[in-house]
Amino acid sequence: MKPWKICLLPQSLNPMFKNIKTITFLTITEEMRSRVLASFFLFSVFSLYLGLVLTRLAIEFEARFFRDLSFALLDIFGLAMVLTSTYRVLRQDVGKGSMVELFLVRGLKPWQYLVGRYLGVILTVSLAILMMAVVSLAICLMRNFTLPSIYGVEFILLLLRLLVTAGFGFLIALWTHSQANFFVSSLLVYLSAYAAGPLRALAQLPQQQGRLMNFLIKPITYLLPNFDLLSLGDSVDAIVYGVHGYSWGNLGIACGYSFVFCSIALSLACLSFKRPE
Amino acid sequence: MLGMIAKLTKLTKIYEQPALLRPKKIPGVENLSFTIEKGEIFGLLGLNGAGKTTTLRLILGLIESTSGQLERGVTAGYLPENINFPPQLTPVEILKYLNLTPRSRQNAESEIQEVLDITGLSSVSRRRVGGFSKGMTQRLGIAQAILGRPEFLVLDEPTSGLDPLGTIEMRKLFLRLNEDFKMTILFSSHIISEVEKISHRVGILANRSLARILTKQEWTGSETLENLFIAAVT
Repeated sequence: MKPWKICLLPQSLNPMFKNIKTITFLTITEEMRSRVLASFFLFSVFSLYLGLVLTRLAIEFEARFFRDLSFALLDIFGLAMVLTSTYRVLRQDVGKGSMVELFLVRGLKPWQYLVGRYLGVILTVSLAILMMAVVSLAICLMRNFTLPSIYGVEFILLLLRLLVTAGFGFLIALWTHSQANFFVSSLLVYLSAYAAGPLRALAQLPQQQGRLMNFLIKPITYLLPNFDLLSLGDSVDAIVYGVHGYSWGNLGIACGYSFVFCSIALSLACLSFKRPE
Repeated sequence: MLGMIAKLTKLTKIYEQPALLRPKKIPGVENLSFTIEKGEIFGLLGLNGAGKTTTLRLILGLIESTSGQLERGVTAGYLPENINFPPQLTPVEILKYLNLTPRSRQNAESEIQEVLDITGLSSVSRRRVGGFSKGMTQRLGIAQAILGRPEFLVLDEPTSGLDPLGTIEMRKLFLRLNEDFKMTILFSSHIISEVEKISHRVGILANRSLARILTKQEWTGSETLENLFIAAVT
């Protein structure tokens, strides 16, 4: 065994990580060959091209129009890819005779399986999103569109949002029994994640204190994922012109929040992961 | 027989179906008591819904028993009834992923090649599983089950859905695995002719409990297995 591997990984943890790695790579291989993901990717590139054509309409604001459109497309296709992959990898394994049973007979723990699947989905979708971003970047460079560095932060936040989306997606996929139910529930949670921040602010207003509605709203805002922490929102312009800053601290909070949220979501998913009986 | 592979003592499984107020209890199997001896082929025979799959899944530890005891000290290979492999992968890839604990890291690839040779899948080892026939999928199922040379093989309806030639090939393969590789085989079926051709002992399940255990001598004598089975289940 290589010395650095001994330092990094205690011998007893080795099989555990090996099992998770196996499931992660299995998921990546499956997803890479899935036609659904490839179609999403091709369609997103086509949409970028259409967006480029549309920039001609945005006189004087071509660069801004294209940048915002690219990020909107990354967001939409990222969401679609995460939800499709999550549903596909988890629901195909629920029935009897699936690969998961063969792994469990070989001593794999259900939680190792779920973590491996989660990492596989995240890595595949991140790779697809990264490729889309590279295509957008190439178009920006070719058309001499400026790209302020804050867009790099926005890209990292976008990946964090996908991480969180996959987290609650895993939970919903295990709790729901139909495809329609899964997609509708996940979309509702995703949209409400953008409303969680404003709702929390509303609940903290002095005139709201002591009201019955407040008692209902407040717990909900803490249960929902909060995308206010994971997006620059409307402040991009202010940041670009130096009016408003985005510190490393903000990014640290965003990363920490995503990690904690995903850990809780995955722990709950592991608890509710039942083998078919 | 050289020892014991698994011992079931009053093993019971009751499924709980979620309901609004109180979960509905559905019996899976009740008071199962028998042993699987090392080196034998043990057939589980029963009508649909008799509890064959539940028994196999209990022995494998895929489901937990409600009461009773199970002792199993050896590793097991498993072939489920309707096996679903990811259609976009090849047999080599599937076996590579499933080989979580190869006998030796250096020989992991030769191990996979060996099981592909045994099951006759070498020529299609790089083809995607999505285009496989039922027979080929079943053979791949056997290949993954014998990967790592487990001492004990558990096969759930291994010949269901196969054509007559496929069934004969599968039967020969089981006998070879039992004789040449010294694997103990436990399999379930509702096809009497299949069970009587390869089993050393047969357990008949009726109404979710073990009605009778028969040895080969009993059905090769004056009585046929069919008659003994009908007498046990009616």
